[in-house]
Amino acid sequence: MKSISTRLVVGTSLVLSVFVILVALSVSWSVHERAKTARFDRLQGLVYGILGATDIASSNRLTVNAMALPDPRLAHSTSGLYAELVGSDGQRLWQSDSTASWLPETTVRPIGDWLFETVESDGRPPLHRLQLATAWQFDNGEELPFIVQVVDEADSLTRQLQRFDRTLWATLLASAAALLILQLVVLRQSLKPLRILGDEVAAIERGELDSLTEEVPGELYPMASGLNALIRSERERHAQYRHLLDDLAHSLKTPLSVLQNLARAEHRNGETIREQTRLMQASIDRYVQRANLRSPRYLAPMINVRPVIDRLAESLGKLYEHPDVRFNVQVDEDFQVRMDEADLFEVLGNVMENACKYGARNITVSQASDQRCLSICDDGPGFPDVELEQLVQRGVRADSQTPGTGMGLAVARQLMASYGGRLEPGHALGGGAQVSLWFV
Amino acid sequence: MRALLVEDESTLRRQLVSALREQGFAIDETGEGEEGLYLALNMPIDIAIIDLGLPGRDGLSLIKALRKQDKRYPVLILTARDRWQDKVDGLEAGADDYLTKPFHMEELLARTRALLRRTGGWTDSTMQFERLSIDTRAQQVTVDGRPIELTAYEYRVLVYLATQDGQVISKGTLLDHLYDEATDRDPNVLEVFIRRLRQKLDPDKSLNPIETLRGRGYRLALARQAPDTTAGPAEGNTANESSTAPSPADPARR
Repeated sequence: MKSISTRLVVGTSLVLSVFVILVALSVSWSVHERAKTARFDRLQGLVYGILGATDIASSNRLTVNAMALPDPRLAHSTSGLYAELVGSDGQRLWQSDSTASWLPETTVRPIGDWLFETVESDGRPPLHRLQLATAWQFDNGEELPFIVQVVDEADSLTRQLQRFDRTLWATLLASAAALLILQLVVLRQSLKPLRILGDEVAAIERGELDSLTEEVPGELYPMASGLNALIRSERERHAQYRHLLDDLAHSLKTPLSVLQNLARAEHRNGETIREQTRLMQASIDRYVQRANLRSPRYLAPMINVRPVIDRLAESLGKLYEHPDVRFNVQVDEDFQVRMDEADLFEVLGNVMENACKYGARNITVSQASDQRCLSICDDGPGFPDVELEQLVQRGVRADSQTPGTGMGLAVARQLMASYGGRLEPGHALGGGAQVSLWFV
Repeated sequence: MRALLVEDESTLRRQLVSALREQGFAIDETGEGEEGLYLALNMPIDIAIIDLGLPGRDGLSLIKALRKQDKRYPVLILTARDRWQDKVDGLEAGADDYLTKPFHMEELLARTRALLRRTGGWTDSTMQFERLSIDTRAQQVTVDGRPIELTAYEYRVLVYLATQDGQVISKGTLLDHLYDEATDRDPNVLEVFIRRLRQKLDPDKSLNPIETLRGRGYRLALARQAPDTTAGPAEGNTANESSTAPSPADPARR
C-alpha cells in the first residue's frame, strides 16, 4: 500500500463492509426468529383450538366439532392450512376439510412432546408442521394416545421474508456505497494539506519556492516549520562551508605569493619552487571550485540578474579602461534566476571579461526571446576556428593547465551546469564572439 | 613616487617593499588597517596597494574611508579573494585595479606603473615630451632617441615631474614623494640632483626641460605629446602593460 489515502480507503471500506454484513445478518436473523416464534405460537393456538373442539364419541371414537374449529381456513379446501388427528397406529382419526399440497409422515413421539419444523421435500413447496403427541384420558383411567398435526404451507411467509431480506440487503449496500463516497470526499479534503505540502516540497526541489507555507493544519505545523528550519540551517551551513573553504584558500594564497616571489630571487631552485607553487595554487582553485559546484540548486535564493550585470559592466569598465569599450545591456529589470549570487557574478564576470580581454569595443548583453536565455555578444575578433566545444572543455584537468589560462569559460560552464543550466559559445552575427547562457 | 603599502603578512610586505624600492618608490608601509588609514590620509601618497583582509580595519573600509576624504590617488587591491563578487565590491569601494594572490611581482609592478600613467592621462607605457621620451617599463630615458644614463634618484625626480602635467611642484612636495624618511630630506641635495639632471638631459642647453620658479618650485616645461587616441584598444590598458608578465588572459585563445 503506497499512499495514506489508499490505506485509509481500503481500511474504511473493509470496516464498512464488515459492519454492513453484520448488521444485515443480525437483522435478518432476528426477523426470521421472530417470524418463526410467531408461526409456532399461531400453530400452537390452532392445536389447542382443535383439541378444544375434540370430543369422544361412542365406541371410543374421537370426533371434532367442525363448528368449534378456531380457524375458518380449516374449512376451505385450498387454504393451505390443514389439520389432522392420527392414532398411534398411524390411522387417521380426523382430518380437516381443507387440504395441503402434500403431507409429511407423522412420527410416533412420547406424549406431551411438541415438534415444530419446516419440512421440505423434493419438488414440493416447503411446509411448517406442528405436531403434538397427546392422549385422551377416559373416566376409567384408560388412555387413547393420538397425534395432532397442523400443517401450514410456508410459501407466502417465505416469500415475504425473502422480499424483506432483499430489501434489507439492497438498502444496506446502497447506504454503504453512499457512506463510502462520502468517506472518500472527507478523506480527500482531510488529506489536502498533505498533498499541498508534498507539492511545495517538490517545488522547493525544483527551485521554484524558497520555503514551505506555514499556514497548515496544527498537526502538520511542526513538520512544515521543521522542514523550513532545516532548509534555512542547510542554507546557512552551506554558506558557512563555502566561506570556510574560501578562507582556507585565501589564507594559503598569501604564503604562496611569498614563495613565488622568493623563487624570483633564488637562482638554484627557483624554477622548481615556481612550478610547485603553481601546482599548489591550481589544486586550491580546483578543489574550491569543485566543492562549490556541489551546491544543490534548491539551496540557492532567487536573485535579480540585472544589477549583477550592471555592476560587472561598471567594474569591467574600470579595469579595462578604454573610452571605446561600451556595454549595452538589454535585460529586463525583473529577470530573476535561482543561483547563488557569487556564482552568478562568477559566470557573468568570466564571460563578460572574456569579451573585454580580447579587444571587443561593443559588448551587448541581451535577453533572448526565450525568457530564460541571456546572450553576451561582442564585436571582437570572435572565437578561433576550432571546435567551439573545445573552448569550454579546458579546465577539466585543471592541474595540467597553467592557472588562469582560458579557464574562465570552462568554469562558467561548469557553474551553469551545476544549476541545471548551460553555456554555449558561438559566433555573433558581426563575426565577434557570442556566449549564450541558458538558465532553468 | 610615494606608495602606500598595507599588507598584514610581514614576509610578503618585505618582498613588496624591496621590489617597489627597486623601482624607485618611496614607501609607507603597515600591516594594520587603522594605521593604514592614518598614512593614507596624512602622507603625500601617489599610489596605494592595499590588502583586503587586514587586522584593525579591513581593506574595503579603508579604501572607502580614504575616498571619502577625497584622496584621489590610484588604489590597487592585492588580495587572495579571487571571486568576481569580491572584485566588484572592491572596485565599487573606490579601488582602480585588482590583483589576486598568488601574483607575479612583475605583474604587480606593471599594474602599478599603468595606474600611475593612467592618473597622469597617459595610456602608453612611454611618455613623450617633445624630444624627451620616458619608457616607464624599461625605465629608459631618451632625448632625440639617444639614451640618457640616469641614477635612480634622478630618474625618480624626472618621472614624478613628468606625471604632474606641467604643474609647479615645490621642493617640499618633491621631497615628500621621493623619500621614505624625513632624515633624507635635504633641499640642497635635491638642488644638486636637479642640476645634474638638467646637465644630462640637456648638455647643450637647447631643450631646457626643467624650469625653476624661484621660491615656488620646479616644473617640467616640455609640451606633452598627446597619445594617439585612435590607437588600437589593446594599447595602453592594463592587459597590454601586463602582457610582459604572465597574465590572467589566455593568449592562446584568440
